[in-house]
Amino acid sequence: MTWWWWRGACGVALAATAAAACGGGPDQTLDKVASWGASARLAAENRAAGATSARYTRNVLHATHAELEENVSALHAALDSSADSSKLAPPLRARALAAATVVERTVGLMARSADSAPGDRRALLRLAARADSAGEVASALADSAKKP
Amino acid sequence: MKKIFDVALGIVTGIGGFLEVGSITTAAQAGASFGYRLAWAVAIGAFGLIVLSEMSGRLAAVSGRTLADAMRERFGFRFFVIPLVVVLLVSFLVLASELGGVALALQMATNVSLRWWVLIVTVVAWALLWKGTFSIIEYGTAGLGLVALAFVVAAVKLHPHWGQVAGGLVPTQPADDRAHYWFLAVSILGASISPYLYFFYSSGSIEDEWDVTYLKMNRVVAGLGNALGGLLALAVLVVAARVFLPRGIEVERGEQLAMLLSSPLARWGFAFFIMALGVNCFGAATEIALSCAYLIAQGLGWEWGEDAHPKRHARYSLAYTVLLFLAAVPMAAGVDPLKLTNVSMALTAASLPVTVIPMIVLMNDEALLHEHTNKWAGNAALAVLALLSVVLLVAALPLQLMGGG
Repeated sequence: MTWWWWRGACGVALAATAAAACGGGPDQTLDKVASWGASARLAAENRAAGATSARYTRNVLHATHAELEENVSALHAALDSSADSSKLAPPLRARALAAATVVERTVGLMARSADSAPGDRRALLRLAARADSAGEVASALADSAKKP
Repeated sequence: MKKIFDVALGIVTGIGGFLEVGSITTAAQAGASFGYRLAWAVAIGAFGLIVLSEMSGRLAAVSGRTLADAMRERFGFRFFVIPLVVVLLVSFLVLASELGGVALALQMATNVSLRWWVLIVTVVAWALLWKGTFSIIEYGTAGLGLVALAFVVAAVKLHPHWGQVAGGLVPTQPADDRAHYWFLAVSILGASISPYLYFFYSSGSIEDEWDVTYLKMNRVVAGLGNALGGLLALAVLVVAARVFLPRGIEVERGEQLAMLLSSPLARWGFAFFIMALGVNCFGAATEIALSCAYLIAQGLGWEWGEDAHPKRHARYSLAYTVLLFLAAVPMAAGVDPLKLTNVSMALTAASLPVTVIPMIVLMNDEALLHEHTNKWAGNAALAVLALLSVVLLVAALPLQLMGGG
């Protein structure tokens, strides 16, 4: 009885390991890109409202940019893989990559702006709006990839 | 008069001690990803901790033994090794996460990397344990931890739909992302029902020399303190649901967490968040280090006690010293505090059966508890928790792999 119980539990664990090993598809990566774009915008809004310090904002933006760089690489890899890329139609793949790249580059600009001109809150807000709207495109594409 | 003061202090400790890096992180992730839908997990976590703390305190007050002592005496050392090793391992991971939480708060406030801060924090925590008394460590850090009440202020200020918050107390499954949902539920339970908390509570009852006259106080302190602590965790979830969810922000890095309070409470919110994270994680780190040292000392029959000079209980003092400095290593080596927190909370949930199931036997042992053994309600609550702990054991690893991100 105990043997069968453990066999069942190990089976579940192995199946889960296999599922996890497959990694996130392009839809999940695009959701993450959108989330980071929105996070950068909230950081900029908080800074503009004087709620957070310039130092904190700069650190958050650099951390966000680092995450986005990883996400864009992961998206490239996912779209190159034949299994994952089938979730998105070919014209949508190019749009997905373009949207993710815009978010990544814009947040990179925000991070550099926070380094060089920490007092320029308007520039940060302007860039944040661009990053967030590109993130929304990424999110919409993720939703279309999730549809069967 | 002294007892009223003790009750007040105990409740403050319960409130301040409930919230730490695990409960802040998991509640924030739950609110950001699923709104109020995981409020039930916070409520069950608080209920579980109330039950286990009350029983550990009652056992200590009536029998004069800590939970660890009673386990070792009742089941023998060969059995006791299992909870000893399991609780030490998961508590070690949680300790590393708490040190990471304090260091993260300091990193947010300064330009210095958390990898450096963690070393300074560890030395300060060790110095407090070495020089401080039990009361200073327990009541001091927990009292300062009340700064986390800022989450309640923020939750009220954000005008949530309280009907929907109450609706979250009934478990419902989302249409998408179910593995992540259940992983967060397991992590919230692990963050709330941490074995170190009730082992620490039981040892604290002995340090404070409780006897049967403290039973009512024990009930009030364990019940009210942890219930109000649970409300704080619920407030974190509500704030995350109002600040992060509408913007589609998932919590994946510790740096994002400060925006929970800076958005609704502006500059004061930012300051309060850093203080709440720093102080509460620091308090939890000292409690975990002590709890582990108590457990080792009680398990191996060493002298122990926080109020005597460390020289008198050299092996006990060496135990928390070694644990604290070892726990600083993962953070100093660059491990991500948020990821470690998620893993350690899930493993804590998986570790519960080895401590919860033996309590069913202990709490019904008339040789230990005389007429204060569990009644049917206590046994029913403990049976539910034991069943839940077995489910968590089986589910934690697969959910960690599928939904742990």
